[in-house]
Amino acid sequence: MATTSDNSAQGHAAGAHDDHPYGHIGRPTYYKIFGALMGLMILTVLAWYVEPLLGLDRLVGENGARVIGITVAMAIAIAKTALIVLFFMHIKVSERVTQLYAAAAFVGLAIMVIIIMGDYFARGWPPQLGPLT
Amino acid sequence: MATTTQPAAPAHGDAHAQHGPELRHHFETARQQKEAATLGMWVFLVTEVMLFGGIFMAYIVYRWAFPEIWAESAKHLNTPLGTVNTVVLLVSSLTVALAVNAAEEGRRRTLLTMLGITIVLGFAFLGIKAYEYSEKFAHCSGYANPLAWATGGAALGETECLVPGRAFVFPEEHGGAAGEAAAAPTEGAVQAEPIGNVIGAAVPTQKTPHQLFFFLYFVATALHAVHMLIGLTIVSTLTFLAWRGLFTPVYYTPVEIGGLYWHLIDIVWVFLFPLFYLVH
Amino acid sequence: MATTALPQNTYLHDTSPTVWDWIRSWLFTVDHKRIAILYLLSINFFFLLGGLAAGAVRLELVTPQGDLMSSDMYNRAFTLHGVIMVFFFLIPVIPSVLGNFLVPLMIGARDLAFPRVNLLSWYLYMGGGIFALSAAVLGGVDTGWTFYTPFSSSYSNSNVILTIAGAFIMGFSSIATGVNFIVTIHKMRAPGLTWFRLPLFIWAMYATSLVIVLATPVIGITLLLLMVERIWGVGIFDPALGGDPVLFQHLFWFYSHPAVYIMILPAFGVISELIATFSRKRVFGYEFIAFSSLAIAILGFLVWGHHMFVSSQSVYSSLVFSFISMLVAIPSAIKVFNWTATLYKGSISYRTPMLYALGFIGLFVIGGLTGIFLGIVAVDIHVTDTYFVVAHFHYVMVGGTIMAYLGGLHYWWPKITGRMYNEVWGSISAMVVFVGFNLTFFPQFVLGYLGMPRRYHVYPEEFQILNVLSTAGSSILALGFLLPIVYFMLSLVNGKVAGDNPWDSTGLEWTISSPPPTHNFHEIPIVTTEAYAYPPEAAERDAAAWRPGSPL
Repeated sequence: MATTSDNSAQGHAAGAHDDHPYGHIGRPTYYKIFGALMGLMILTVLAWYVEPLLGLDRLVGENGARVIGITVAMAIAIAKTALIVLFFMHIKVSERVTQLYAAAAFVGLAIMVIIIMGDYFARGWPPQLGPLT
Repeated sequence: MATTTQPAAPAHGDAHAQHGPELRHHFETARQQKEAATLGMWVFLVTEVMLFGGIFMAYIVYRWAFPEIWAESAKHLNTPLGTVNTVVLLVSSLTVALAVNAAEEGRRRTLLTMLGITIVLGFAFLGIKAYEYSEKFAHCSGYANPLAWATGGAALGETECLVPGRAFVFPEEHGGAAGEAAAAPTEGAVQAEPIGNVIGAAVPTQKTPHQLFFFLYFVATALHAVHMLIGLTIVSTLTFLAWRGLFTPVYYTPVEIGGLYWHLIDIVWVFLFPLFYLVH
Repeated sequence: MATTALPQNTYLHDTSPTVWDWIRSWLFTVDHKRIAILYLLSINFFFLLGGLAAGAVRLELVTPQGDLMSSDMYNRAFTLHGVIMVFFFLIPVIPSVLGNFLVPLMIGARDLAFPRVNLLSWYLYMGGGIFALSAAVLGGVDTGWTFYTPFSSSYSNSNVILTIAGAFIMGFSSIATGVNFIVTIHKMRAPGLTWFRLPLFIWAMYATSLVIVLATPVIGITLLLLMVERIWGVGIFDPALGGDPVLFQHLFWFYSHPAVYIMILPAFGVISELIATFSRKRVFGYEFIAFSSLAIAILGFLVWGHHMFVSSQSVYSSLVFSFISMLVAIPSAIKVFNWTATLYKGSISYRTPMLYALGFIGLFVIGGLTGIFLGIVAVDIHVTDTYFVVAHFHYVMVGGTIMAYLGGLHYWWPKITGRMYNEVWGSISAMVVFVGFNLTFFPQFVLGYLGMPRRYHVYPEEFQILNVLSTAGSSILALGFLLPIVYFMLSLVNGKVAGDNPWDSTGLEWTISSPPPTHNFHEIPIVTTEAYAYPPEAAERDAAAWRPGSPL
């Protein structure tokens, strides 16, 4: 990766050009993203409301997890997060290093959740008593 | 190591002609400083994500372990207020983004307005949260709502105390359990069934997994509220500095990175809301 | 290079008119070099404290009976030793002392990216330290440094909250350092200093910072949850509520295993520097060492369950963790092979830093290999919670990290202070450390294998001879650790003036004065060559030029 600092004098008159070498997000986009966020929020509350009526909250799997509800809710939350991160937080127009670190956070989380839940799935619930009781 | 050195580059040599006073002198250019600040804030946000990740991990484990209890418990959270709070934070995210945009374009009045609205929305969020907490505490004290608690008004019809601790009582008719708990306010709901084979679960006490839900609820939202307070401090500082005229289209980095922090707080809530309030 | 006077206008000088001003110039400094000195003093203070606790433990273990202290007191002694050594010494030492001082110098920058955050990290360290000290003064804590629930959350009657608060605050100090290093290394390298021209110490610091940033917050939240559980009386680790104590262990070790890589990766970086300089050769397999640091950082996140083989963790998880633990040894081995290849046909000089580096290689290999033994589930079942584990981690932490730290401190002492330490005493104390260390900890491998449990203050008679050997070794080791304090202090007064580059080493830090000026570089250098660019004949030329008393 080449260095990003250079010693040549950078004129600062054209601020917008200097500060956004990777693109620019304008106000119309912000409003559109906000609209999408509100839409997703309405969707997630609606889904919660509607699931018992449609019978979609039935238990799935031996442990009784209401998988459909959780999946829908998490998908919507992830979509909202993606919109906020990409547009409001400017990741879409940020340099690669910043994008990598933003992604790294979620990779770290994924590692933690997947491996720990893997242990719980394999062990079962509740924790078993040992042979001495 | 063979190196060559260059005489002091023009950007630094001409006494501060090429950059404003905000350039800290361990940086060579303003652009380097801005990129460093942005990357630094993002790396810090990574740590915040991992911090909340720990609580989410505990949540995932216990929701997987006790799905019914989660469903029952979530009914006792104030979903309408939670929804309002979500709207409040999403709007505040918009105002923060617009504030950064205004700073970038040098529109000082818009910047101040947007930051001001953000502060109002932030306090609104905290106020609603405080009300929700006080609802729980009011019920614990036997009152129907916080106003009644303060004025000594209407009593709550049933025994309910959803603040984890000695006095925890999960109300019976919502499927908490059968048992003698209802009459004794300091006893808790008896388990309808033992918590699996965990040693000690057979003893009827107020110790039920419902407490896990409410413990996680209080800790997660309290931690989030602490971050809100930090965020409000940051935004207030930015408002003050903006009012003093510090930010220009050339230098508005603090607004941008302060905005990043605020957005993270919003993202955490975007997950907290469905996980705690929208459970079946 | 022959100078007779220390340079003027270094970072150590200032123009404070009064003592109070002078104190303020140090306590409110934002100069990374001064902050490194602040860390040096405070971290060494905690090291001595942790060493005292270790002394108490070893003293008790001289006899099979529990005659020196009660079991409760003993619990507090080994917990204090663990908490202080892990959180207040091993994790911050090389990054905050050597890293803070050297990272900007090695990349040609005037300071770290966020100098005020750097100062904050020191104050956070001190704040955390004060909490831990208060806990110690008020009677200590008896849970072991691992704070396992439900003992720590529900049953312990000791100062758990104070101690955890100390560790929690220290975590933020660590995070601040990590953020600073990542941004500095990405954004402030001198022109021409591409990633593959960086010294390997910088690669090591970068990988360490990566681990710090991803792992430390998890211990933060875990300790916070534990604190809340103790204060509030209810919590998610309480089995009576349906909670799972093993969840605490998962969350705890999710940080604490990467934490050991936070301890060893910087040590690897130091060793690369020492081996290169004292064999007058380019490090063999530079890219391999650089990438292996990143590999260790990443793989280190996938192995924490090897601390939990007997905790009722699922057998399938244990197998996965065991397998990946084998894998994580490979990058470390790659480094050792590369260092050895660097030594081959080098012009090796046995100065004190090199003695520590060579000692590191041997001791780290033993420590690392015994780690592999422990990573095998079937073996671990037998030796877990015995002295075998204790010996293993002391080999990597003391024989590894501390040896590297001491080697680095000796190597860069002339740069930091402008003075050379006394080489004779340096060599002597390096050898004292080596002998004392092996005498202390090798018997512990045998003890553990024979079944002596750890954290017990009484043991069967037949283990006494090995315990006595271990305690005897610990007194020698203590001597080896105390000697440098003496001759380093003396060197400040009458040590030989070092000059810019006493070791004739490559590296940007050796191109400026010793001690460096406050702003590091008068002009930012432009880098055009690779790291460790020793000319091919450097080894022979230096061997031919050697005379008694020459620096190398």
